[in-house]
Amino acid sequence: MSYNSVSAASDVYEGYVFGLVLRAGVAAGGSVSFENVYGQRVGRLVFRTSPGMLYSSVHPYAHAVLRLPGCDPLEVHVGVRVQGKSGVLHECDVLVLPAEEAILSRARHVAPRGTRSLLAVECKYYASYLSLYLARGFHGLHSDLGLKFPYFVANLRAGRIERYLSYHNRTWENGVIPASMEAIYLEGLMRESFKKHIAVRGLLSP
Amino acid sequence: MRPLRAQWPTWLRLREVRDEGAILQKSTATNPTPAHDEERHSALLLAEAPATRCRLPFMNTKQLIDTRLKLRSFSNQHGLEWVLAEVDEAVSLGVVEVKALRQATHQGKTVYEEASPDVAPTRGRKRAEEFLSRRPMSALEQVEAIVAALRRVLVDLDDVARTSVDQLRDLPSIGDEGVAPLISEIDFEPDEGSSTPPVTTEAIRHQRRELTTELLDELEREIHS
Repeated sequence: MSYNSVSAASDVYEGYVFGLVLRAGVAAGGSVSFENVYGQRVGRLVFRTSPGMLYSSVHPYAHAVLRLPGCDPLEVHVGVRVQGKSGVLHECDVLVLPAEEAILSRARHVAPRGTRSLLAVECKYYASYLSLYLARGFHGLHSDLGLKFPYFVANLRAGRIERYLSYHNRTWENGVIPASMEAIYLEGLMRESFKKHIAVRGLLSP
Repeated sequence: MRPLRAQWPTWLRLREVRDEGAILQKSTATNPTPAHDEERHSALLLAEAPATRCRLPFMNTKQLIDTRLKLRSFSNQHGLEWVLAEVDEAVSLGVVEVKALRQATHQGKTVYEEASPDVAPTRGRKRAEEFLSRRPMSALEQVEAIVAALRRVLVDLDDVARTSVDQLRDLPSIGDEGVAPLISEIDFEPDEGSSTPPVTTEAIRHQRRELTTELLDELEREIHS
C-alpha cells in the first residue's frame, strides 16, 4: 500500500491537518479525547476515504472531542458533509463544530449546518501542481457554508492561488508539511480562531 | 496496479536513472509501445534544443530529456501515473511571468512599451501596469518538476503519515485519565457509496525513506551539477 492514488495522499494529509487543528485547540487551553460514532473511546482512529455523513456507522468512524476553557464542547471531524445556506450539501475535509450540533446530526440523521459550525479546513496535498479551480471552489464553498473560520491549506506554494484567495479575503496557509514553519504558522492562525471562540462563547471570569 | 512497497528493490531504478542519465542513448526507431509518443515528443524537444533554455554547464538538453524519460518510465511502472498527470498539467501551463508595460502616446497613438522595473516613473508619465505572460517550461524545469513531485509523494508523504499519528500522542486529555489514549494508527475506510480504496498511515510509512531521500538528493545534485 499505496502511493498509487491521489486519494490516499489526500486522506493522509487530512489526518495530518486534523492533528494540527487539535494542537491549536490545546495551545488555546483545550483538552482532547477521541471517540467513535457510538461514543466509545478509541485508540485507533478510523476516518472516511471520501466525505460522508457525520452520522454514518458503516465503519466506527472517529472524531475528537475538544473542550475549550469555559466553553461547550466541540467536535472535530474528518471528511464530512455539511449543509450550506443554499440548502445543498458540501464537503469539509476537517470540520470543527459544537458537540451539540454533531449530537443532533447523529440523533436525527441529518447533516450539520455550516452556519452553526466554527471552523473548516480545505486540505490539498498535491505532488506537483495546484490548479486555480481549487481556490475558486474554496471561495464559493465558504460563501455558501457561512462558517466563521474557513482555511485553505496545501502542501505546495502556489502564488496565483495565494493572490486569488487574498484578493477575496480568504485565509490560507500553503507549504504546510511536517517540520515546516508554515505548519507552525497554521497552528498559530487556528489558535487565534479558538481564542476568539473562547472570548465570545466562554464564561466570563468574575 | 502493484503497490510500491512490495517491489521495493526496484527502487534501485532510481539509481539507474541517476547513473545512466549522462550517457544514455535512446533509440526511437524500434519502440512500438506508448512510450514511443514520449520519445517522439522528446525528439521534438531535442530538435528545439538550441532554443531551449538550459542553465546547466554539464548536463545538456538531451541528457535532461533522457533523464526525464527514465523518471517517467519509473513512475509509470510503480503506479504513479497520477503524479505524472499533475506534472503534465503543470508543464502544459508553463511558467507564468509578469511583464511591466507602461502606456505612452506616440504621434497621437496609444502604445504600450516595456517598463524597466528599476526605473521609477517620472512626473507626468503613467505608472507601469503588470501584465501576465507565460513561457514553456525548459527541459531542466521539467526534470526538476518530476523530481520534486516524486519527493513529495515518496518522502514528504511518509513524513505526513508519521507525524499525523505522532502529534496526537502528547495531547492533554479530557476526563480523569490525564492523558489521551495512545493513538496507534489512523485508518481511512470508504463510507457508504464510496469506491475510494482504504488506506492506513501504517501502509504509507516505509523504512527506506532515508535511502529514497538520498537518491533523490543525488539525482537533484547531478541535474544541477
